[in-house]
Amino acid sequence: MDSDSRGPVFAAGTRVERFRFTGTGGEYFRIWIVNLLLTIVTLGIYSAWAKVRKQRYFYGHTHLAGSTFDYHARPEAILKGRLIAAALLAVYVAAGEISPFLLVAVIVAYVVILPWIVVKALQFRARVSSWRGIRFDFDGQLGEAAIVFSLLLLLMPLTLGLILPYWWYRRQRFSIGELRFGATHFRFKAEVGAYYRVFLLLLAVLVGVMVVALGCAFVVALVATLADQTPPEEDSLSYYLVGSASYAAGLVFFSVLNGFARGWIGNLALGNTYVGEHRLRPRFDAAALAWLQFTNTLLVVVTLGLFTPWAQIRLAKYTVEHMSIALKGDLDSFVAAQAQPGSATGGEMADIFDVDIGF
Amino acid sequence: MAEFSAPAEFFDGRTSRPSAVQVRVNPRGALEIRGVGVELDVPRAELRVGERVGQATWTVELAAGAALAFAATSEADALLRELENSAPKRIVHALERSWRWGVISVVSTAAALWALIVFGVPQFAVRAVALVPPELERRLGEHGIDWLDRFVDPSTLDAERRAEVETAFARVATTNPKLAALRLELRRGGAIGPNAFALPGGIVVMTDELVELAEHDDELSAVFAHELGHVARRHALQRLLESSAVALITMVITSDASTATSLGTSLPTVLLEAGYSRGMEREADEFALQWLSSAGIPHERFAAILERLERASGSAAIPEFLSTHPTTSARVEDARR
Repeated sequence: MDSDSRGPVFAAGTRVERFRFTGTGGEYFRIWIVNLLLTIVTLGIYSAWAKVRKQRYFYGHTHLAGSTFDYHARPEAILKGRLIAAALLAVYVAAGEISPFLLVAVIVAYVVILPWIVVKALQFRARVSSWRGIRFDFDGQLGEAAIVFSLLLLLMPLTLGLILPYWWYRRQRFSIGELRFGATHFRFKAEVGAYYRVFLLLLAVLVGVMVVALGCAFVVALVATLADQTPPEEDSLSYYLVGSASYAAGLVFFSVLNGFARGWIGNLALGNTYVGEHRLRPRFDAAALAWLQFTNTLLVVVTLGLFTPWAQIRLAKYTVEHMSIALKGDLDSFVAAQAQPGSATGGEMADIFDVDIGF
Repeated sequence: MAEFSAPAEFFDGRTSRPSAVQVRVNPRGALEIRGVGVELDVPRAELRVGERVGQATWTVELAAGAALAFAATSEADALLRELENSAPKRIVHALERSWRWGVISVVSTAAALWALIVFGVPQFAVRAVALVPPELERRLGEHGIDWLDRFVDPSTLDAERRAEVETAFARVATTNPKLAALRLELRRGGAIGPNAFALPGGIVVMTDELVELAEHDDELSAVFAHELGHVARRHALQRLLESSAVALITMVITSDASTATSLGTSLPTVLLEAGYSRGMEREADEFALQWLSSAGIPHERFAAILERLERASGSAAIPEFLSTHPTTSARVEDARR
């Protein structure tokens, strides 16, 4: 682990620039709740505008060397993408109801077009992002995407999931390594062996979480038995309460796994990412992230969702402020690509696929 | 005209080198950008004020990828408000800043969600049902029965008893010429116990356990009449559309696509587990009681089987306002009225 997550010893003359995040939960809460209300009142149409406002808020509060990031997507483009995604979903659901054969045909069709959608989505996300007036871009090719998102995905069940770490590695090598900032290409130098080590650790955490969950369930059952409580009958009020409580408990336990995954995979992937000669330096503490995600989920559940904006800000603040970049030279000399992508040349087709494909 | 001026960072769109500049709206309404090595006058038509969100950095895009970044100060606020001529953007920005509107939004969001799910979704479903072709509805029913057969066994009733049950069914079915393609499916319920339900497209399922529970075949006819009430109003389809709509609303709010991917597989489950709303049960009961009257069967038959069903399933009392089903006692009372 350590050799992967720690950067190299830096030669004299390299400078480290930290990322900063200045958003606050209280401020974001007001934005979030107004966006939520407008989304519901407009039956979902406003969600595209809400998405742009959310992104602009998080980008505009993320500082590097005195300048913030900027998000340029037009809500109209996002709305179009969401309508198409909704249509694809409707086709999928309808096919499943009509006949299993049709469903299989639709799934195969989607697996075939998935690589294309992924490339367009990664392009979209990169091209609408900028720092100091220089746009990001994405150079991933369809052929590589077809290997990662069709072939390897289809092989996944055949190999009983054993290639999951390898798939994750290929996926990040593609989605991060093919990024470009202006004319400066990203390089992704993580190695696949390190992914297998991280996923083994995650498996250990998963087993641990399940043991703790089972232990808790056992204690609850024991206490209930000692208190001479018969198990609640189906249909009774307490049956529903117990049902929702175990669902919430599952969410909370899952968040622990999520925190460890973010920490370890983040250190590995981002820590081996270079922007030109500059190297990213994440310093995530996986246990701290697990605790953060655990408390976040707990508070979101307890407050019936009202804590969501604070949870998102806490996560963003931790992630951003534990990132820095080791500089060879300075950050002032990046140059834009020959043709700035985005509005005119980027092409409308890229804009319609705003699909969130997280790390 | 007031003077609008604020400091900003200027990016030329060619390199990542920032320049500190002073920005001013000049008397002709154009933007004057002045700094070391920067001297630009930009007409309003050539700039785009980015949406301002909270205190996050505010930006103005200029031609050819150049941009201005303003720290969220009151002078920048005044300057950008002068440049930005979109009223909706200004209103949204103002709403998002106020705590009072935050609180009002929480209350209105809860109210809007409640209204949407309690009134909007059923209204949508009633209208959407009319658009679903009967052929599709029939297939949904076939799909449902296939799915059900994974959990229940074939009926073990003897041929004679089956014929009697078929007769009780036909007695109700034939009096409704409007309802074509009605079909009875008998199954050994096992875990689902004494039960009867209507699938989309006119398939009525009854378990052996319910047949055994009945003390008179008129009781079975009464139950069939109730289920045909659901069929006549296409309640199964309506319920299916409602749960899909609720799943979609959840998805939009949480922006979580994973909810949607399980949607397709969960629909039949939702259909059979969620049961019908109180209003739907009342409608089906009314349909059943009307038919009983027209067939000269006392309403007591319906009341009796309902009461026996409740005892058999031993369901604990949920206060009616929490339950999607009307309480059995209320339904029995209505039947005896």
